[in-house]
Amino acid sequence: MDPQGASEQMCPECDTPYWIHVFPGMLDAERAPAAIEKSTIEGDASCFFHASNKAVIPCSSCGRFLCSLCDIPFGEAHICPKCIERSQDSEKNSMKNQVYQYDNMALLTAILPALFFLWPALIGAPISLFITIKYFKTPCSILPRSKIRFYLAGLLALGEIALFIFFIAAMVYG
Amino acid sequence: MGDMMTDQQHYTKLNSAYLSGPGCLFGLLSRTRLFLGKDHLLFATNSIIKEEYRRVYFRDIQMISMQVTGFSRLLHFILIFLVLGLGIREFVNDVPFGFSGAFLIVTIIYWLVHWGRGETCACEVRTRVQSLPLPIGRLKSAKIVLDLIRERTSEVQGSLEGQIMRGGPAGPDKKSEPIPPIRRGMQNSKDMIYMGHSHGLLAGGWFFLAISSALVFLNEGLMFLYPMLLSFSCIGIFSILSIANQRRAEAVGVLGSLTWVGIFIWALQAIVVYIYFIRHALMNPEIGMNPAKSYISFFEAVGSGQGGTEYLVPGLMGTSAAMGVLILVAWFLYRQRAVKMSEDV
Repeated sequence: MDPQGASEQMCPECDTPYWIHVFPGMLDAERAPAAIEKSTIEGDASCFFHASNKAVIPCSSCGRFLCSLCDIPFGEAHICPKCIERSQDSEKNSMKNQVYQYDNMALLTAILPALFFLWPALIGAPISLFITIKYFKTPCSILPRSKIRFYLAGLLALGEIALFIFFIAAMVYG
Repeated sequence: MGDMMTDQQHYTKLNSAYLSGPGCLFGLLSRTRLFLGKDHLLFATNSIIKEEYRRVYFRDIQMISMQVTGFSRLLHFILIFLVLGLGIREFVNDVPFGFSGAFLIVTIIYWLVHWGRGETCACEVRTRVQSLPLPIGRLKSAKIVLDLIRERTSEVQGSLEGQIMRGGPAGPDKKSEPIPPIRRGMQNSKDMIYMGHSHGLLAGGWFFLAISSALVFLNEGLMFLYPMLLSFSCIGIFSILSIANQRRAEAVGVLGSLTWVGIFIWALQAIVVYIYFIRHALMNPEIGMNPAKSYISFFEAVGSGQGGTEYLVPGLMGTSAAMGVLILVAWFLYRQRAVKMSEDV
C-alpha cells in the first residue's frame, strides 16, 4: 500500500504505520530571502517602497522598482505587494482567499424560514428574491459552479410569495 | 499578470472531506475540497455562505505524510459491541431481534465500505511555513492523491534519491536542518493563535446550566429538567473542545486552568447527582429495579425538591453560575490578548 517513493515506518509511540515523502525543498537553503542591499552610491536605482534599499528587480505588473524585501516571486513573474493587494480586491481573479456564496444564502433564506410554521417565509421569501436578483451575476466561487441554486431559490421564493398572496386573497374575499 | 492569474482557474478535483475546520462541532457544517491547479494545490473550504481558499505551491512543498488512524477500528468495536449487547438483551428478554438486527445491517454496510475504501488515515502536506491536513480520509484515495502530488512536486523540485526519512533526512546535509515535529491542527501562524471560541461556548454552557437549574428550582417542575440535562451534556462536549484547542494554543494561562477546574466540578456534579439517585432508589424500595421507573421517580423528586433533594438543584445552580462567571472573565481577558497577538501577526 506504500505510495511511490515512500516507505512504511511504524510510529514508536502509538505503533501505527505512517509514510513520509521528503522533497528537496526540505533541504533547500537557497530559498531564504536574499540579503537587502542598501543603496550607497548616488544614482543607484532604489526601491519604490523603501528609498534606502537598492532595487533588484522591477514589478512584472506595474514596473515599479523593488528591493528583495518587496519582491514577491509569482511563478516566473515578480510582483510588488501593492499589485497583489489590488488583485485581491478585484472581482475577476483567482487570487481571492474567500468568496461569499450568495446562491446558498438565497436558497437558505427561501427554505429555512418556511420550515418554521411557514409564516416566517413572509419575510424570508422577499429577502431570497432580492439576493437572487441582486447577486445573480456575481461569481460565487473561483471554481466551476452552476446557477442552479439561484434558479431554485428564485422559484421557491416566487412560489412562497404567490402562496401568501393566495392566502391573503382567500381571507379577504372569503 | 492577468493572464498568469486566469491560467490558474483550471482546477481538477482530487478529493473532499467533511468534518474539517476548527473543531468537529463546527466542522459538521463545513467541507474541504482539494483541487489540483497548474502549479499549486487549492484547498477550498465551504461553510455554507462562504468559501475560503488556501493555495500550496508545488515549489514550496517540503514533505507529504500519511498515517493510519484508529478511527475505523474504534467504530468496528462500537458497532460489534452494540450488536452483541442488544442481541443478548433481546435474547434474554425473549423479544424479536429488532435493534440488534438493524445495527447488524449497519455493521455489514460499514464493513463493505471499509473493505472497498481501505482504512482511515490522516494526511498532511508541509511547506516551510505551514502544515495543512489534506482532506483525505481513506487509504486507497490517499495513495492516489499523494502519488499525484508527489509526481507534480518532483517535476518542479526534482527528487531526493534515497531521502525517505526516518526521524530526519538521510542525505549528506543531514545535520544542516533538523526537521521539527508536525503538530496536527497547526495550519499557519495566524491559525495558531486560538481566539477562545470553545471557551466562550463553555462559559455559555455553564450559564445555561445555571439558568435552567434556576428555572427548575423556581417552577418546581419537570419541564426545565430536560434543558438542564442538555446543558450538562453540552458542558462535557465544550470542555473536550476547549481542552483540545488550549493544547494546540499552548499558552492559555488562567483560562486553561479554569477549564480543568470546570471539568472537575462537572464530574463532581455528576457524582453527586448519581449519589442522590442511588439514595432515592434505596429510600423508595417500591420502585424496584426498573431503571425507567427509577429515573422518572427521581426526576419528579428533583423537580419538586422532595425526597431529600431540596439542596441538589440550588447547589448545581450556584456552582454552575460561579464557573460560568469565572470562565467568562478569564475568556474575556484571554480574548483581548489573543486579538492583540493576531494583529501583531
